Amino acid sequence: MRSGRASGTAARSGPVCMPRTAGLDDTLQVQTPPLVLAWKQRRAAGHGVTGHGRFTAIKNARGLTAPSHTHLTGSQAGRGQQAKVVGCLHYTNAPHATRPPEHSRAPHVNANKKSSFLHAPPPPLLPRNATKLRSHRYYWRRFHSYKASSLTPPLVHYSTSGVALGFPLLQGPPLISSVKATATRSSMANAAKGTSGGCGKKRKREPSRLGDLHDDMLERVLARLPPASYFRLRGVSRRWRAAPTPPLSAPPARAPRHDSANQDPGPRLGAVARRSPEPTPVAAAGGLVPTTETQLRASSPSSTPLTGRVTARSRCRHVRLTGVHRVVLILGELPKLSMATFDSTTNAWEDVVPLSRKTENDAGATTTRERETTRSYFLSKSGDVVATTMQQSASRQYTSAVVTANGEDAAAAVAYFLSRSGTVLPRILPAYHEYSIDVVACGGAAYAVVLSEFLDTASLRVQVAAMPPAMSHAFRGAKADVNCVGHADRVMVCVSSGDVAGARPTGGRSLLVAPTGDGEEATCLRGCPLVRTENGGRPNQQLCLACAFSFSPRKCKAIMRCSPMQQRKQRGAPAAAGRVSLALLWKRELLVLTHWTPAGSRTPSVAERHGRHKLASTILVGIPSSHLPARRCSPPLALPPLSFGRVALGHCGWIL
Amino acid sequence: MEVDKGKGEAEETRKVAEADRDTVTLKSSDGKLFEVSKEAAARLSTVLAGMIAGGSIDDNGTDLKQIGSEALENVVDYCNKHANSIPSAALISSSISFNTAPFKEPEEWERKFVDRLSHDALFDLVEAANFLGMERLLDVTCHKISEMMKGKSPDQIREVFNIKNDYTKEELEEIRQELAWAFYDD
Repeated sequence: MRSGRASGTAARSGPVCMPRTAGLDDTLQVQTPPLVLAWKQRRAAGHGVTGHGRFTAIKNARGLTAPSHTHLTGSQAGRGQQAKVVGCLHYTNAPHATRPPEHSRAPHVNANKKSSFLHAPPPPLLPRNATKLRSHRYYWRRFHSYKASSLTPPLVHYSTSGVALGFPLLQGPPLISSVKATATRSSMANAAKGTSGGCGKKRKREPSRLGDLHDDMLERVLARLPPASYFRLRGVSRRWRAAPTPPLSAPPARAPRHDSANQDPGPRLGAVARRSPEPTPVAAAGGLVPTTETQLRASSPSSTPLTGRVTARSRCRHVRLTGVHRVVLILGELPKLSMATFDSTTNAWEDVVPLSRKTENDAGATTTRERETTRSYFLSKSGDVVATTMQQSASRQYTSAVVTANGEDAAAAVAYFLSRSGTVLPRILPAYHEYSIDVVACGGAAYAVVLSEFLDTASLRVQVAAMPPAMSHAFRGAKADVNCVGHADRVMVCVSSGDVAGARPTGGRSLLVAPTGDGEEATCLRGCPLVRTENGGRPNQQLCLACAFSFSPRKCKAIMRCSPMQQRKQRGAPAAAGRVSLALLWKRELLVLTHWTPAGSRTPSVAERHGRHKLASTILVGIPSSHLPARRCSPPLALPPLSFGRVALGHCGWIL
Repeated sequence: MEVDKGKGEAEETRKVAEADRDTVTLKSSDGKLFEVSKEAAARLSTVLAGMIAGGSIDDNGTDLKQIGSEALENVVDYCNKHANSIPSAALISSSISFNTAPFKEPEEWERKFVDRLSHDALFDLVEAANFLGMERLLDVTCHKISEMMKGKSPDQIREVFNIKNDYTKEELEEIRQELAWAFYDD
């Protein structure tokens, strides 16, 4: 330890009031925490130490809490070292603390005394474990108790420098302007650079060369970061930002307008091609085949964007395909379905194979009625094709659910489809009462989720589930859309309304439903911030859930404590309309990918909603698992699978 | 396996190497010689494997001009430790097909191995591993670096990694706006 500029500055700096512009030397070297003095002197005066005081927090310049004795030895060795101590001693838990001894309460401490203190051996009885940070509220109570007891407040309180004051907390007390505090902190950081590291963190004198990592290595490193860190560190430098993005990345920073069509990348689900003509994602079982048939058709085996994309996906870290896998892509309108398989062993797509339905499983579905493409046809419960007026989100042009009857048996897989013009089942409710339907695979069975409007309330039926009443009323007439994703024994149902931007501030909600069949009501995600509608003034601030995918991110630790809306609000960010285009349910955590439209852009019309996504940026939100209902569900009832198409998947597997 | 630094010692080990032909002698940019078992080198490094197979291994020390002696020492150290640890088939396969095989978490000894390195040594090791095509070592070192990055703010990263901030204020603010959520994590 070296003592830097000890004596000179000590003499110069008067102890009482620091000017507001006091530099680091002034603030830090002069201020002897009077409570330390008091404590020390009390100890010298024969007071028992036990139970007297606790020095509860010391922060050094690196923001690390250091044990109290470190601070004291630093002081002892010299004040140059003390420059590192940002922080503070909170004197707590001592009945005597409100009345420091007389001489320590004197508004000035003479230099001799101080230095004698500083050169005294450190108090040996300081609790080693007393590094817990106390809230400054406590400190304030303490402080006001000083005032209340009309004692001369100790010297340290008069200082205007937040750092030396003993307020190490980032939110300083009001008398410290945050600007000032920041400035002091940064100056401290500089000073800390100048002196050597006395803090536990090892500092390098020479600049680290790690910043010069080659691009390839940088990519590898960044790909290992959790999403939040990854996105945050894009702000480090241009080069880092330009580094190839792992999946679930944000689209380029430029903000495409709704009417600037062609170059718009659309929603980038992982690695959807930038120039794809119609980037409509297709849901797939177990996640991640977000692509369209046009993309596949347009892609030749040699220069296929799809192949490149899926290959790229397979090496990405967040959505990793483990081991030998196959990606099954099911294409086409329902009567003429075909299937393409990506084999990881050959690393190539196999030829597109037309699918043939085995009709023995669904007697009712054999009559396929061709319809005009302007209308939508949905899978219904008993296997008939029905034209409805249901809402259909653009991102759910095709939906399939692939289910294994008994776990791992690939040959017994059943594929379910929900298509724009598919053959499906008799309706559950009369036409014009069903609004949206989705199929979801969950627990080895497929479920149809039907959002219907009946008896003046919208009701959500996951076979047996019902929406909570408040939600039912909210969604009545809102022409909401359901999107589901299943995981383990739960189904997450995202209900979103196409009318969110209109006069009805309906928004959307998410449900987490356990299709146990025991008649239990659907459980709302508690505090689920997926969709928020601001009251009154800011009708633009909405989030709307448009689609749900099941993903298996490798690392989904980016868990947020509140929704981005709340955060943006806190930050005073401009209002923005958002749309959640992707929801991931992984383990017990829910991740939602949001697309934001920039503020001021006009609200998407219905046509646009059904067309392309033209959105500005992507936000990944995680909802901590604590928000998910913790209730253990019984294994899902073996509901009869929707015996629509039992497709001989044969050798095909699916993404895990 | 020994790591030799003096020339006399190198001479000796070369004789030993000639005796049993089991090792490869590598020469760092500053002329120091290191020995590593042929089997481990071929298994861990695609470049060395190619050189061994192609017969371009020099008995007097294969010149690796891009790698300094410290980094090469670490590499050899890693190879030896790897040879001593239980060889697992998964490791081999992961080093063969990096693109599809999942990255396995570093094992305990690998963790310790990279933890003791300074920043610069780590940097050199990454470069060396990249040059030699050692996927596993690259994985481990990159993992270590990303561990170092985790939970840090861009400012801290810039400071620790000595990166110049080339954003303008407006751009920074834009990034912050765009990714406000990420700045509120941890």
